[in-house]
Amino acid sequence: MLTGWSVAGPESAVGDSGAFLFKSNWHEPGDRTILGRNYAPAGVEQGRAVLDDLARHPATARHIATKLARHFVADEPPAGLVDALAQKFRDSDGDLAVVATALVSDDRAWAPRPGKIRTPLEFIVGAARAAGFQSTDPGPYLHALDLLGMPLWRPAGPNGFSDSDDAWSSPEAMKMRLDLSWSMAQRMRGSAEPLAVLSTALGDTASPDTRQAVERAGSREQALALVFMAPEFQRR
Amino acid sequence: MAPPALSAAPASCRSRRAAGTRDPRLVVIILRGAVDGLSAIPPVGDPDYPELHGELAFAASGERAALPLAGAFAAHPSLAAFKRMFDQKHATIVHAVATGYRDRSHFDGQDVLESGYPAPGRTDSGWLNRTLSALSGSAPGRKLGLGVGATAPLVVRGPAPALGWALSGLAPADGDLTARVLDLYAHCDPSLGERLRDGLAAEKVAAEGSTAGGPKKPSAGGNPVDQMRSVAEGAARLLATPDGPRVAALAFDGFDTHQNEGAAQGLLAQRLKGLDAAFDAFSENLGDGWKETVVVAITEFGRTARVNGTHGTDHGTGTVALLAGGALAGGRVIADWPSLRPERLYEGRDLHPTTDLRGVLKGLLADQFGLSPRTLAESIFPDTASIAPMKGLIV
Repeated sequence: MLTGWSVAGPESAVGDSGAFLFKSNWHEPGDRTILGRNYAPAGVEQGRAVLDDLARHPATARHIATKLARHFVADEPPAGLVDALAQKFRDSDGDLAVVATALVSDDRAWAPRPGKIRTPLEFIVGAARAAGFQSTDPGPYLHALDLLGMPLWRPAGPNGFSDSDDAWSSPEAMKMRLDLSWSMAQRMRGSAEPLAVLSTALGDTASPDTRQAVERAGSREQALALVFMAPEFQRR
Repeated sequence: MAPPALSAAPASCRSRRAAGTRDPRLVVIILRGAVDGLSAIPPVGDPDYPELHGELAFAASGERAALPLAGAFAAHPSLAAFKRMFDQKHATIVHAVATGYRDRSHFDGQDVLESGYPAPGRTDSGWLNRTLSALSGSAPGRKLGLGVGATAPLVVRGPAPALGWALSGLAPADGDLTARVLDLYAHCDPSLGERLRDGLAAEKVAAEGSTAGGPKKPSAGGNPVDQMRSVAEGAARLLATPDGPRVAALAFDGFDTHQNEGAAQGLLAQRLKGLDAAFDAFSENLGDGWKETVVVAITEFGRTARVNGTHGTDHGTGTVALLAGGALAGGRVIADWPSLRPERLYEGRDLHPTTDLRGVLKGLLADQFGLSPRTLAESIFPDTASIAPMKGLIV
């Protein structure tokens, strides 16, 4: 069904680099049966018809709803929330903006506390952005992501990176986050005032304990490392 | 007075185990990418081998000589420490071995190898993690498992909690910062605090060892061989700790040698040298624990018997399992050798697997930890009642 579906290469004469391309002479002709339904030969439209039907399958609504709720709310999201999101998905014919609005408008999405731990990418990129750190050298970021087990765009398998809290907050990962916070703080100390970074990143959500720990730090880089390691910064 | 009957020996072994005087350890090394078993442990005595493995083949003697082991088999020149252990009867090879997986996808093959399930698709837990669950009654509350690496290998992941450790090479945060972060967590986020404390404790042991003898920090720098050695050193120190973990898993990648595999020098030679260094590091750093240890290195499948057009080999089937450790009744190459005659090759291209790897692993778990055949066939390696645990691997 997907045979012949391709992308234009960098030197392609028929499309912009990376654009979708259907190569009809690569397409395996013939009928296809997917989930019990027959699809007559129709070139690229055969695959599109299958995708349309898959997108409207009730299991897809539930799958997408579960993934969104798991990512943004909790590893085991409230069942009622997943049902509500799946319903929105079906009612809106798969409009993700409608589903996302329903997610953030639902009180159940905000209930589970403490929130999930930031993934390594969210943590590393978040730290640099909060500190306003500008660098043209991607090396330290890529190395940090490797060390935390989330090499950029290179998950170990086709099912992607884990979206569970445990996968990213293991003891060795927390120890690594501490060392990385220290090394990032040393690298970034010139670029920002720790209290300003705290305010930028956490605003009113910083606890009195965290604020006090940052204020009382023995040095500017130690203060910055404490911002990065603060529970409110580690979690979403 | 009549000497004790020979048959008394196994009974006394069992009673020693029951008395709890044994303290067995098991390390699983996952070799990712599919190891060319015909180069790692070349069957130099098989008449079809030289022509079939062509430019990559070793010989019993001469300038392409491998290290002689037993019978028709030799070891890759990179495996010098392993060969020394073999001569001391502390190493065993199982050849022409494979899991039940017969397709050629690395991802699926590794999932089957590590999950212990009969088919790909289930990655919720690994067979070593389920072993930890089965053993948890013997040491309540203690973390018997150790997962090494930024992401622990699937084989040890799952519901049973395991310690983690990874070689970082970063300058560690100083003690003052560490104390302040721990203090903050104690007030605001005890669960993160507990994880961080566990991570710090593991790093300390891995870097310094649990006994006196001076800190010897493993370094992530250096060449790949040194790195593989350092990873094994850290893991060995954790396993040597009196109340530390007893079952560990780590993974080495880079065995997918489609191009320029090399013979005595080259890609495969370097990876095997790293593996050899890891075996050596375990024997050096486990202290007295080595006597009761088995380290087993396994891979998702083998490679084609013939060399491809790019001086390498492609995804195949039968391969080797390498076992090292003082607990082994070693010095043996265990193989129901299928031969490399053209009509005996699996699908006309691969070493025919004649031993199921799960039988080898079940045998190790049975003899090291006393797990019953039923537990092994139902919860550790589901649906393997027909695959008997291999007997006699352990002294």
